[in-house]
Amino acid sequence: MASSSSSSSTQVKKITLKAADGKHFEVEEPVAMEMETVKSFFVGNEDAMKDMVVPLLNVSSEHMPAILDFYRNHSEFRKRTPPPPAEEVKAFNEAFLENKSDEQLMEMIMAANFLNTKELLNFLTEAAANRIKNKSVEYVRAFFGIENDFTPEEEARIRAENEWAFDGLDED
Amino acid sequence: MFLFLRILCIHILNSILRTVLVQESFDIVKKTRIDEMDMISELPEPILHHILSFLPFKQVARTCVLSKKWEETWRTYPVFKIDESILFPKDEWRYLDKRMKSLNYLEQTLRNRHFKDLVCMEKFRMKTKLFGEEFVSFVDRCICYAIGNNVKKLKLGIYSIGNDVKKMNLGILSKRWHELEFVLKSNRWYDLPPIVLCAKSIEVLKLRGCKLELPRKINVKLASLRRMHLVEVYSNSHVINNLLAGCPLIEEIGISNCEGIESVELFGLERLNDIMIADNMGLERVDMKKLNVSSLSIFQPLTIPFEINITICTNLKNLKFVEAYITDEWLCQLIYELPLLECLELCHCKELKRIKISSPSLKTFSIFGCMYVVELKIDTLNLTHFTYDGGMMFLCLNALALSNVDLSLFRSNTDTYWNAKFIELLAQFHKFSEMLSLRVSKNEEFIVSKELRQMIPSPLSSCKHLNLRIDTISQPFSIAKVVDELLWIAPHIKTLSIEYFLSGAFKKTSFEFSYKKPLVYEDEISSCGNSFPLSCWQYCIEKVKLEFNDCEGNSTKGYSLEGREFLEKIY
Repeated sequence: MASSSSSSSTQVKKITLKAADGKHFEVEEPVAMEMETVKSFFVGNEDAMKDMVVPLLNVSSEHMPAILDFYRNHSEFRKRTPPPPAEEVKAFNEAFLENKSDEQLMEMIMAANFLNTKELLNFLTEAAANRIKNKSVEYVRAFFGIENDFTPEEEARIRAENEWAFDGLDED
Repeated sequence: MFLFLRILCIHILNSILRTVLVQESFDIVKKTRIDEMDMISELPEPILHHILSFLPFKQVARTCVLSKKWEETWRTYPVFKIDESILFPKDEWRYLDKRMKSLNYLEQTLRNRHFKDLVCMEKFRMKTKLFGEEFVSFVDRCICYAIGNNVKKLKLGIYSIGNDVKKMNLGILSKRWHELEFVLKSNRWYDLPPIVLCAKSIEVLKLRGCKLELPRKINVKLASLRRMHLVEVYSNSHVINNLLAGCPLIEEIGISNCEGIESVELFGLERLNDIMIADNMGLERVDMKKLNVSSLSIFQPLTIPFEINITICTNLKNLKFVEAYITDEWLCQLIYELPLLECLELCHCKELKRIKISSPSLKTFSIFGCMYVVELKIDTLNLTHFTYDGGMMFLCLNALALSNVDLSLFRSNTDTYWNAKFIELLAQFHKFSEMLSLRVSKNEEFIVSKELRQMIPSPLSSCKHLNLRIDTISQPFSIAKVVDELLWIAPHIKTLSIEYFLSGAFKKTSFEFSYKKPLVYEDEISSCGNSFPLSCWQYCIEKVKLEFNDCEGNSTKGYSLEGREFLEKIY
């Protein structure tokens, strides 16, 4: 009995994921299954898990450790009874975003979108929104590095058409 | 027309000037970031919409000038949230004519919304007061465009203008007399365009401050409607019942603070799961028949007698009546007909006197402020939570699974046997409950005289955890005395906590007791009274841990006492 339970705990199935730049990551099966994209890879083909390497085309290896850390922690939060206090979740989320540049945040949003995980995507899109909340048009453009491809006349026309959105501004 | 063109020209000139200035400053920024890719613009449109959904609507609209791609993203943004910060920033409703021109652009944006195949408007929300006929027809048109865009969630909140009229400058008032007259005449309800009641795309409909009427030729067809909430709506029984009959997929209905509806009929709506009816003026009757509904909540203050008929709704799990006109026999019969009922809550139902409930499925039962209840007979094998807040009553309880009891009794001064009755009531729980919360309004309420203690056994001899809350402390107050009382009421208790307000601050004192074995009665006569069949707690108490807490729940002091020391402190 004891030996079988210990062997099952040491034999947690691992799945190998390959980031866009070719680096491999060995990930425990339940963590990998948080990603719908990985999950759908194995649907109807569960035996393939051992030797298959799942290519993640849009995820750079730079972000993999952080993303996997997010899955591990949040799935633990979900399972815990009673649920963890809001402060604990908040503290983890804040630490997660700390030191992430806007560029890194955008790359991670693309990664989350590719991996098709609602929770991570929701979290990151809200974080992005918070960084531009109540900022001016100019700020938002510079912030994301958006190139303004309007001629001054075109922009003036669009501003006039949406004048109601530009009056009574309460920007930071 | 000329005036309009002039204003437009000025606007355009202004905007050009602004953009030129902005463009210059932006060029500087651009040089430093020239190598960076426009990452956010690479994101697919649904993701951009997702990011935008966390921003104030006005800012969402402003993203249209970022770039061509962003303009397209704005054009397909599926949510519209219009409130007074958009309609009338800086109180501009005082100058309505001027403002309407700006609002025409808003209307055009809404009209020109174009969605790709199979995509429709997700949400349209408008929250405003009504100012003048021109503005009302603007609201009408906006709603029609939303419906034209196959809106899924429609939420309208029309508020009464009352307070703002009072704040209005009298000078402006006199000039706008016809408008004010309009406002005062019809300020209470907004006439909802009947087309809303035929919108096949609507899944969620929330209306506040609207008047619902149904022209003869129109049949309600809300084929996709899942949830409907009507608040402060004026209508009549005919319209409401036609409306309900025209929503075959409805799952949730809320009708509150409405007027003019005399009766509500809910028949055969197979998917209906949740009904909430609250405080509707003039409502006389609710009929429910053949519903799979699992949750029903009715709050109807007793302005006029109110009739509820519930037949063949066997899936009902949660039932709540607040200030409803229901009688003992009716309730008893209804509960008999509900084999799956799990949660029952009765609040301020003044007709209830002798409640008799027999339900093997019931798990939670709460009664609050039903002032005339004198008798409660409960036969509920699976009941785990029982809450009672009211006057003294006779209780007959059969509830083997009971684990949590919350009792809060108010005392009538005329009742001389109150204490004895209270002990008798507590004794009803002695077999069942391990955990008991008690609330009393004054500390002297549960004082049991020495004579009484010798005459009757301790009421809660198997209770393990007791929590007492005292609303008002009257002097002389001694916590030791309270503990002494409680240790007689519940001898050999494991934990005890006492919560009270003293000199304006919340306090909590907790005790943890451990006892010497054996706990068998050894025929001792002692001052602790008749605690048969257990031995007197005073002889077997071993150790006591004490903890004092302040209002934030922080532990301020902790002690550990030996049994003997504890007894010395108490006496």
